Amino acid sequence: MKRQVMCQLEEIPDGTMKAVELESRAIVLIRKGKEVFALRDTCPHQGARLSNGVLTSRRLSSVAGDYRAEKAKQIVRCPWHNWEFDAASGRCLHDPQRLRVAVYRTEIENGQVVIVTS
Amino acid sequence: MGENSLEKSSLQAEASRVGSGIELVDCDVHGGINSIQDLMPYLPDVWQLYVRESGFKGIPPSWYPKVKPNAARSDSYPPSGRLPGTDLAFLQAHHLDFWKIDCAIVNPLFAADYLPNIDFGAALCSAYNDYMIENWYEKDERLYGSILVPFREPELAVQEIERVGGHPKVVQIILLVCAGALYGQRRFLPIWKAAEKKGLVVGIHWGGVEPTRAAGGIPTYYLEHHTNLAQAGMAQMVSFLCEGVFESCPDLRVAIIECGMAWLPALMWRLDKDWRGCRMEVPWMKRRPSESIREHFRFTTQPIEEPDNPAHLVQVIEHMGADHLLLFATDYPHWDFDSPARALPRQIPEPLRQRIFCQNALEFYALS
Repeated sequence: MKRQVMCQLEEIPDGTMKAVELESRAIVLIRKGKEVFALRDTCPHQGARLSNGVLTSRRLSSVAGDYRAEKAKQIVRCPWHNWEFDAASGRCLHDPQRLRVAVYRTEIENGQVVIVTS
Repeated sequence: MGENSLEKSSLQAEASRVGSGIELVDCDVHGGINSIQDLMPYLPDVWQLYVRESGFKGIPPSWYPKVKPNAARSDSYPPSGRLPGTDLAFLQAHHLDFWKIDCAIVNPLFAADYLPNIDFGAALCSAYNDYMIENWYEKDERLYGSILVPFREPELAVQEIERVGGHPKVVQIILLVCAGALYGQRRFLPIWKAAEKKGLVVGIHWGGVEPTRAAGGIPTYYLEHHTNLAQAGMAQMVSFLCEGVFESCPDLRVAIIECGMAWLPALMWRLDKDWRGCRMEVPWMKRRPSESIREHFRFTTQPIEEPDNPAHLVQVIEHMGADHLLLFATDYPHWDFDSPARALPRQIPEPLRQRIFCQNALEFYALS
């Protein structure tokens, strides 16, 4: 197992994203409360940096005119064409079975954000 | 043998080719009244008086003179002197028997539902439906019918669906594609729920009340009008999808009639792509639009697109991603009629051909 420190937790205010680099790969760190998620920072559609996008809530609805925001989960919306990805799983909301961005395991150690790879 | 005999003999030879092993369903045949007088026995007294006292002659003709009188084939005038498509006996012999058509969906095109006086329009819709059921749909077992509904007043439309939609020969409610409104909008939902409940297809047919507007404005020529109303078919389909009609009516079926079909793959690609980026605005659209299209919509073939290389049409159908989407239609007696013997390119493989000619319609309209 390889453990690499990415940044201090306090560098990522709650509800924000931070672009970092891991062995020449672009990674976006996403903070939600005490948790930090790490995704590959490249949209599989046309290659935009997801870290330049919007961190927001998924919209829920059961019927036309019904608008709700699912605040419990965060999604990243691509800065270019609005493709949306679940921050925790990396799965693309419009095609979760076939489309996802890579997810990295994270830990918080002594106030530092650590990515753990095999 | 005279020229006419030669022509008839040649056509009959083609018709016999169609009948060899393939059952034939024609999903767009036009039948209807010769004049408002046909409807008088079916109108309530007060509206009979209104017709007499006002001199009402029927729906005003289109702004666009057609390329043929009544937009009809020159050979479709019955000896009885009635208008093309209004003499059942002639239509049976000239069309159904001649082409060995097993089932036909009859679409009366009488825009009573667009009259400014909604009560008069509703009375005309009811009278027309009763006339068609009694004089057409019940008179020939091959015929299945569409009903008119006063769609601008959904409550009245629902009443009409409740009144006649359960008739065993009624399979569809028929609307014109250029309606001055997009049918997916929420105010029309009670109509679609009523159609779904009765198991009726919603048929959206080429045409509309003038001025019919294609995208961008009012066209100058009939050629533009004839071509551009395909855009209205696209717009109506997109409206049903984006307004979430199928989330409320999961079993609703919609037929886009006479609005073309070669545009479908391009529209599916574009709508799928745009949906990915605009989902926050329409969160009720949980499925890819193209999946919903394949489940809920069908498209009639006439007037079939005719590329220089007919094989290209086969490729377009492949791009649709399903073999159950197309329904064969002739549009008899109109001038842009498609011949059952010649319209579909020979390059269409036999199983798909059989689906288009027959199986798709039998399934979609639940014909027996």
